[in-house]
Amino acid sequence: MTTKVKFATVYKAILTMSVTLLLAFLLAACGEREPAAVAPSPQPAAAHAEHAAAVDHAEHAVVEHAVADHAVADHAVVDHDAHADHPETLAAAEMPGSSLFHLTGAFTAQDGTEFRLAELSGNPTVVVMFYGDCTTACPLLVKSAQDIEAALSPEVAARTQFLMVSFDTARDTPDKLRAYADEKGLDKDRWHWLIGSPLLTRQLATLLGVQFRDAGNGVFAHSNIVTVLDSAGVPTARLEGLGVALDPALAAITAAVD
Amino acid sequence: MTTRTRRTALSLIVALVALWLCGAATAATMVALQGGEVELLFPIEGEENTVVAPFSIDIVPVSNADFLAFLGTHPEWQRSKVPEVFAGQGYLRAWPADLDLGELDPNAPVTDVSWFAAAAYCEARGGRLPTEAEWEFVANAGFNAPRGRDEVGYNERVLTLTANRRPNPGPVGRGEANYYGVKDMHGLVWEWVFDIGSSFNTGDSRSDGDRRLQLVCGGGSAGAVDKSDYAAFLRYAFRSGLDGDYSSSGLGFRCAG
Repeated sequence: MTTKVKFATVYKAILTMSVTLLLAFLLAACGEREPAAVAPSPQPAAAHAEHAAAVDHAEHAVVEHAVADHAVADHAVVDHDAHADHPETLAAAEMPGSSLFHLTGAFTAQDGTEFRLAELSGNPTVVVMFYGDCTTACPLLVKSAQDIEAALSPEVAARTQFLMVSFDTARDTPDKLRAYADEKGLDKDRWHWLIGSPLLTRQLATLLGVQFRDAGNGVFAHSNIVTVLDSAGVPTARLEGLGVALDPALAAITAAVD
Repeated sequence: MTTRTRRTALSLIVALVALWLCGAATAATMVALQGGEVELLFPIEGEENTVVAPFSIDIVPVSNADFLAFLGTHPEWQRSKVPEVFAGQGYLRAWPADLDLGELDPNAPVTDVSWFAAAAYCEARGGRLPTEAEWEFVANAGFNAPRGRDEVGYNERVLTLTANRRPNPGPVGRGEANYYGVKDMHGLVWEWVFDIGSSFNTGDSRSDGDRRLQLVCGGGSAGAVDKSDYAAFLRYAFRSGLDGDYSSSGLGFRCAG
């Protein structure tokens, strides 16, 4: 009798434990399943940087707003390591609502360093989107940027920056872009050859009104647009198509420097 | 003995209930799909079909309540704070205040959101917007077959769903699940996709060839693969005209991963 009671107690304990374990297991499975299901496809690390900066242009100083929900909270809107020759970086609060500098994600430049649009603040910029394997239109787009630089007065040219951003986030690398730039004698100061995450690239293209599509075989269909940003990042000229007159771009750049 | 049997039965019931609760709580957000070939409505030279890699997609569009929660943690996307480059005047226009849904149904799909805001929402969740090809892959599924066109009455049904949308779309999740278990692809709202501004039909081209021409020009639909799929024609035409800062009360989104 005693043995039977003991057996029943042990049995009960084992049963209770099993149920508890089963519940615990189920709960654990519950907890794990959701993130697993939501897990994104692998993306370049740069994709995470885009959330770094909370752009609050309303009333707070930028530095106070280096707040982010992700681990990259130390990347404020204004990169404190910004090049020494761009000291006048605008605070987000001073940025016009139409400034592209609100796009805070980090690109990677041809030297492998991070590059944010806000680093362009204080001087005008010529923006071109292209890709390294592009043999037809892109060399002409790059040539347009070169021609713009050559047509500016030396003083204005010395302050004008050139942003060459790749569509091909899968195949272009900093090394490849540096080689591309070097071949054209354009791996130099004020020429930034950039690659971003797929999202950042699409965001910039959308801001510039540049259409592009990955045809899947290393070829991109894209519109041919040269944009001029003033010193606050606001687009002030747009050349659409190839072989068009550069005058509107030259005028916008000169106005931005004056 | 009877007690023991009862206890065992009870435990079993508890376990089953737990399992059901667990399933209900987590299975409700996304479905994982194997991907495959997508037949594009407007085939691009050398690209008759696009192959979509495995991906996950939300079962239902993002709701007002979901978006409200996001705005709480990402104040830079609140209506009074978002810069105009990312959202035009109509952004969240039905919201009385930054964090106030007012009369809006929390379970209705969020609308009046720009592409930039939708993309930021999905990114904050660790996902992204579905590509146009992924979205169409899911939308082309029938209710009982992976290829809607193989299903009798599919085109009519989708067109009816698309045409009968209400100005104030109802709660998400009420539509019938399609073959993949995804709901509300046609009956509630238009949806943003990742690759807006990709309506091109030429390669590395010197001319700005533009698929929009096929979509907006009279008789443009002659280029479409399936001329009876008028709902798909409407989707492509609608998407091709969108800018990233645009928003409308009939345009929402869901996320992929």
